[in-house]
Amino acid sequence: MKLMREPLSGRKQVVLGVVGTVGSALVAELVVRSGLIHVAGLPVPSHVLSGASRLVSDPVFWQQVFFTLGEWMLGLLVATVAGVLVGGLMGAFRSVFVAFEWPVESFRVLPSVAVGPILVLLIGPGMLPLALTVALSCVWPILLNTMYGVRSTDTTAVATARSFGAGNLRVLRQVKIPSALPFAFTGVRIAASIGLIVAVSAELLIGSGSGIGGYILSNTANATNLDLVYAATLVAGLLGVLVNVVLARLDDVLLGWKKGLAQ
Amino acid sequence: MTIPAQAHVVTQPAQAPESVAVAERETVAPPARKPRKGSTQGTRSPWPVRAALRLVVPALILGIWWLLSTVPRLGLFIKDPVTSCERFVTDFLSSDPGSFFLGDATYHDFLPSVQRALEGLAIALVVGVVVGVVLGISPILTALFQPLVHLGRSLPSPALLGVFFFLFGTGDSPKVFLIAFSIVWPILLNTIDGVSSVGLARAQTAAVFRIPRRDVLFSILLPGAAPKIFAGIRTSLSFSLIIMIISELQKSENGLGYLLVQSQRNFDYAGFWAVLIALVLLGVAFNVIFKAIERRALAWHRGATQQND
Repeated sequence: MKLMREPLSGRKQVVLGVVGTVGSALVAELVVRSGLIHVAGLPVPSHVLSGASRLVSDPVFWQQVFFTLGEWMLGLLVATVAGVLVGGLMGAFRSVFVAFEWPVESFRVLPSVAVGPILVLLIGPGMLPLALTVALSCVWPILLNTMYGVRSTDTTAVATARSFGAGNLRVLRQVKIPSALPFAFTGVRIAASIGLIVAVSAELLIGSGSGIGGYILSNTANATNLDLVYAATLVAGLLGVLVNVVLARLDDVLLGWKKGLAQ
Repeated sequence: MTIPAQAHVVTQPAQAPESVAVAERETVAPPARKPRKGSTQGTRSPWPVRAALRLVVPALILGIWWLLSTVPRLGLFIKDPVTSCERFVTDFLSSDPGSFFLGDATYHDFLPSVQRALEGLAIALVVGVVVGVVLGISPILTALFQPLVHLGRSLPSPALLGVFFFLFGTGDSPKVFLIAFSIVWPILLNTIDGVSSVGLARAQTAAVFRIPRRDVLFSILLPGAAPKIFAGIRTSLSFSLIIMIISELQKSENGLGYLLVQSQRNFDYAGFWAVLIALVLLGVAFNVIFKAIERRALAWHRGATQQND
């Protein structure tokens, strides 16, 4: 077994990625078409693609997509503010950590979609309860990463700041928070990919027909529209990949300096 | 083979494919790091102060919960903590030693749910690790399937619930498969990432001593990737509970998700809160068991990483 190898160049990776994706789709198409596997309801790539092209030209679908995106962004925003605030304080002050440790540990494991129905009853229908459901599952990676980030601040940097006469608050503001930023952003990236899935799940459960989840729900009611369901799921997944790429770019551009920090 | 010439090249896979599981990869570090005791405050406060600190936020939450339950309109569906806990005890526990002090709801809903979640987790673990090792060993295979794996991770799989029922009929199998399909991705990504970054020293050792394939797989690759695989499982574990609930919303006769929907439909909100309590207990139990397994399985790792790689 060979473990030593040359890394592939970026261009080669892109070419191989395209080949692999197109190739897999072709193989799947052939297998289903030739009747090698005969199960009704399996996705046929060409049907899914034509379904996707129909969706892309459907304004109603885009309305639902933007609803889901808005809900996701709102949830992520709430989660980021809450997570960075509480996580930062938990990392910086032991007393805050002790006070919040048990609640965080027990709410973290509660599947957020289960709380959704109560939120709808509390706030009423609309985007807000959905966004809060998303926030409830996105907040934990952000909170924990921020906390670990603040904790792992370079002690030399803290000591240096102190010897220049910086107080607790100033050390927190000027040393600990900046050095925790990359960690917090990692948390946001993890949360973003969890968030989209939770957003669609929440729409399935409590969405009253809005969002991608609602669109899918109204189309699975009659099983003839399976291709449309596959297509909608695919479009949502592609959106997720796109947001991941954008966040990774942002991470590189805004927080590129963290590579120096690691050494 | 000119090892020195390759030396700095081979280390590259660790950082080069920047898209591979960057997000998950970085989660590996935090759990390994232990909280430094009294890191910011120097001295530890005496135990009564700490106990009070520990209890102040939970007490606050319980207080708000109770207050909300006394508001006339909200009180209809927010049941106070005491009622909810009593309901949890009557539903999920019993005084009958013959049934191990467990109530009807535990046998009818709780255990089947847990069983499906664990079955899904088992499938995801096997598929994720096997496929991940196969893909991770070869940079070409990694590159070929990388876009598909990333797409799979981003798919909102709960949307496919109806499709899974269509494909696998009713019963447990569509639910188990949906759980497995949804949570396999973090395990798969992290396995690929772990396997493809075994580290230069180990790779060279394996090459120089011509260590046989089997031993490379079981003594170098899998142990080396284990910390990352565990990080993936950690993500999957909390996800499995969400999907478990979602999968029981339609065409179900039992399960915690089913119970959530039923209690709501019957305006039985005490029952609803009891299910929430059961879910928290289940999540905490999952977490504790996972941590215990991880600590045992990775006990060697904490020592090893201080010296190698």
